[in-house]
Amino acid sequence: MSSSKIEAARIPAGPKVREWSRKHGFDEWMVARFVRLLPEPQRLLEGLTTPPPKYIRVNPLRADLDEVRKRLDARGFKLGRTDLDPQVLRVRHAPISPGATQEHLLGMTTPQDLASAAAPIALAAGSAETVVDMAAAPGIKTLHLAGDMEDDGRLVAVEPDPDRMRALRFNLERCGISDTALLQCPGQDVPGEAWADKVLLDAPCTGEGTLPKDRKRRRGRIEEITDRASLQCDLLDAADRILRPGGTLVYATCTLAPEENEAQVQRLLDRGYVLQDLPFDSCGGAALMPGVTQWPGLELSDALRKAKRFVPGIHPTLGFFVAKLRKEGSS
Amino acid sequence: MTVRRATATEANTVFGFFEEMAAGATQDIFGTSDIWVVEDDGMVVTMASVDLADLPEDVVAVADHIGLRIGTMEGMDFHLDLQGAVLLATVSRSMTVRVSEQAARMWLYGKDILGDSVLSWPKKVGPGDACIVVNPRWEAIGIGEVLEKGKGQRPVIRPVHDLGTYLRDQGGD
Repeated sequence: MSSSKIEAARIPAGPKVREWSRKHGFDEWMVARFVRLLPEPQRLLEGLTTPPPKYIRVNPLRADLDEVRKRLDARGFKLGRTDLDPQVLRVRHAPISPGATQEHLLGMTTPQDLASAAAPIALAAGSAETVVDMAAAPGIKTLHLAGDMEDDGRLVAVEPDPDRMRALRFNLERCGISDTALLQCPGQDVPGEAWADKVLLDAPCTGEGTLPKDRKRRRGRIEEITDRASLQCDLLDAADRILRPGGTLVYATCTLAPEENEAQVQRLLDRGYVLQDLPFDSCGGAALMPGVTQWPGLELSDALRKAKRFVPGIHPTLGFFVAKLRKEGSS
Repeated sequence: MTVRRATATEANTVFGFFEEMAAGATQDIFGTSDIWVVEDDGMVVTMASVDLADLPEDVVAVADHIGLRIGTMEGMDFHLDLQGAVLLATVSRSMTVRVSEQAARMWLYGKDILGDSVLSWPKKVGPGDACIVVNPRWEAIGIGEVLEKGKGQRPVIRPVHDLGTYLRDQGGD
């Protein structure tokens, strides 16, 4: 796979971009890129400056959805269903933090963003499979995968950072997960070749999609996109190495930048991977945004429209990108 | 650090502990699962999906942890951990002390259980004994030590392990 550097595109800022940048407190380079990326940038900018909705996911291994709902109702919570994942409930009112309830400590629920459920849903892990979560901490998606696998099979969760590994271990333990092996190492160092049936890489990224909950990210260096893209290339090379022919790879990030998303997926397409349809195409009643096929400095396939973006302001979620690919060959 | 499947002797020690608590508990709790151990400063005992043994050897060789932590082993003595207690409480009430909702809430902040809050308890437990503390729905919320017998012989319990650890030590997510 080509390891050529993916440089972040610098888009010139016009008067409107400068106005929106001042209004919302973002760097101009960031707003200029958003305007180029999205047909309705104002909705995104409003979404990025509005507190995001809160969600919890019910752990099917520990509790029945209706039972949890009844218990939390009795504690004063107001919960609503979501259209993306029946196990995820929107928290419309919470008398205490959803992460401080007895139900949370008993492993019945876990706070998470709705969009992040998209990656495990796309992977569709099964109980007889060998599945790898390559950037696993704090383990929200690992928990989802373990639930889909009915806590059976072989789930490998990888995390290089010791503190984040601790959070991952606590979350898995709290939820009673027993089918997981934890590897504290960089994803690039996971050993072996062609042994995984499915790989989820929710890659470390610049996190533009998390701007609604993290004001600090409104200012930053455009070079961070280039740096992260380089790490993502390395992690995807490792994912490609451990995935068996015919296996499934889901690539996701919580950023909007095409260099960290479509450009990464394109590298796999160049290697013979095939993009798959996702098992969802809308969220909160709004169609998901197809992957972009045009971006300055990138040559992108039309097939990338099969990848999808969740966009704050349009969807009731943080920003998220997800693509599902099949590796050429058969097992 | 070494992560390996438990020896037959080690596994039998763990199974023996659970069987002593409730006949048939081994089958009910473990089914076809394996027992693994993580040797570091001490020896952590885990319950793991039997399929994990089929992972490539070089992957297992670099694993830091496999399965669900259920206890620790000192010599040939098995000591229950939080999730071991959660599992045990689903099949046995022999060492469970059931407490009120209010007491359960306070327990998760590391508070003692006072006798007035105890709804039911095994009559055989006395000062110094370990017990599993459960909420009114019989869900394990921790492991305690009986400090004394209070009014009406109801036990007073101090926390040894409680589920609030997941909140206090991790700092949420």
